[in-house]
Amino acid sequence: MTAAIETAGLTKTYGAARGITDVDLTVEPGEVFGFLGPNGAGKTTMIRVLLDLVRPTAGSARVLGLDAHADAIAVHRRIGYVAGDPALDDRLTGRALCAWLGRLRGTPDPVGVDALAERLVVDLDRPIRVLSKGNRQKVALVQAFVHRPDLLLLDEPTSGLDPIVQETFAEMVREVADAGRTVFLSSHRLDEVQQVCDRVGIIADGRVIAVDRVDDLRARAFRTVEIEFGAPVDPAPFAALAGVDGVEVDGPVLRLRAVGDLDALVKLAASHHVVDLVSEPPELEEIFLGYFDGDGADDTEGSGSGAG
Amino acid sequence: MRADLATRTLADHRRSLIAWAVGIGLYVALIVVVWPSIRDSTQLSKAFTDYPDTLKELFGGNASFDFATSAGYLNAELFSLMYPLFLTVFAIAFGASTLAGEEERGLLDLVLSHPVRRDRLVTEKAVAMVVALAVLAVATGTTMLVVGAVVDLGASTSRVVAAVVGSALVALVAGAVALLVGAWRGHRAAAIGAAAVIFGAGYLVQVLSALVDAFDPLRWLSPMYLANGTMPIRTGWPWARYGVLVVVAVLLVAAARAVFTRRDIGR
Repeated sequence: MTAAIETAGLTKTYGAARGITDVDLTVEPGEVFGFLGPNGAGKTTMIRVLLDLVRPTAGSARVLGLDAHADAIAVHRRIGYVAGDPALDDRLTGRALCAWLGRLRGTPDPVGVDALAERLVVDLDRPIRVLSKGNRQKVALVQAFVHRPDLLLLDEPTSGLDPIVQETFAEMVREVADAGRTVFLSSHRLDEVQQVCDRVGIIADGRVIAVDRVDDLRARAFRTVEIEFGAPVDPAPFAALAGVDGVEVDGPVLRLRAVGDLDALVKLAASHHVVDLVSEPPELEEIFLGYFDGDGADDTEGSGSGAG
Repeated sequence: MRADLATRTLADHRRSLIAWAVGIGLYVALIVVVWPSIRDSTQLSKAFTDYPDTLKELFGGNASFDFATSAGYLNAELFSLMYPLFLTVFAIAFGASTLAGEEERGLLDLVLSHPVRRDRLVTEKAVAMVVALAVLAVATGTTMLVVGAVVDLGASTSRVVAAVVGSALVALVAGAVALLVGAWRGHRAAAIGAAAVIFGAGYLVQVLSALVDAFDPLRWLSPMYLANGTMPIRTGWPWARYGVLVVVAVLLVAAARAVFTRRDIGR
């Protein structure tokens, strides 16, 4: 089966630092692929190269089996695109925008605009300029999803959406994948990627440093756990658990970092009187550091702070 | 796809086009309406005749400085500077905002992620500019003729149309320069600046060439000289010169298509 996205040695160098370097990535049809990295890591550049808005310095990009540049028009017939904080012609109403973009595709009256708008709860009959940031984002989602493209390229698609709409968005993405179509989604939020994606590529400073199934990513990720007990406890049994380190005691409060599944930790804690338990998902930077440690990648200095 | 991009562009500029048509129309009407009192005032005419040559050149040329006929008056007051200038400012603003301006606002990302060829986009933007300029020229030219008929201006309709078309062609070349620089650099300010400098310099060379012979060969670089050098309001259609302006505009748009197709689009 033809890959939905296939890049080899894909590189885009701008004057200074931004861009992507030597990206080899394959996204299979029917997959929801998350492209995870801090702001400025190269996520947007990657999507712009796939859209042929930006031409690569080196390497190749194939989209739906076609060359991203040479066959751009044929590619564009089969994709939908949403930018984070999308720029839309704000004198139009959402409906007029969808109709106009539909005409550019040769389908002036896409079926299902109203159903999608209702689902996302956005009024398509108001001019876009009076809509909130979140509602503009919804209009952008409607125009991209309504054509049922074979591939959706979504660049930070949920920025500005409230949590309920993010749920709806996650459902919509799952439906696309269930229908055998593909979603490529960039994000700087691990929870979002975990919620909707099958696989994740992690990008930092323009390089893809890991591609993993979401489950594996979670297994490798640290969680910061803070347990407040009724009385001070002996930290030694906790420190002895597999996957636990960095144990600190502060009166009745125990702090530690845990990798993978928390079952053994919670069961041990339950033998004491637990007042409170907080388990923080890891910051993206911490995951990156985990990958760097694991891969011994010394040449990626400043990966966390390099965002910008 | 028909002309969806051009249609959308024109719809986006609808309000600005109406405002410009009303503004230029009022200016033109005012100039034409005062013609009878200028004609009847011999003192005024004499005062102008006594102006220093340099000043006359700045206001449209020594030979044209003739308020005894309506053609001389219209040339001095409208066609030698103000009318083509108004149309040019409109065209530069249009040419710069419609491509580079939309790129800066990020609007082209979504359009170009659709099955739209980039050269096609540039062509439709150029077509929209031509149509907008034509509407502006027809609206203001008609105003000139109608008000002229009311005040008994007595100018030849064909020659007024010729002069209006010449001014519109100057503006078209200016707008095409703005479109090209915008297509090349992606910045509205650069497009406006480059087009304005080229046209300011062209006009200056034309004025200087009338005063200093050494500038004579250079004046052919001025679109304004090409359009109004023969004073179409007196002498009628200079077909070859207008043809040159049209060819220049077409070449500028072709260049805009070429550069826009080859580069990265970005905010």
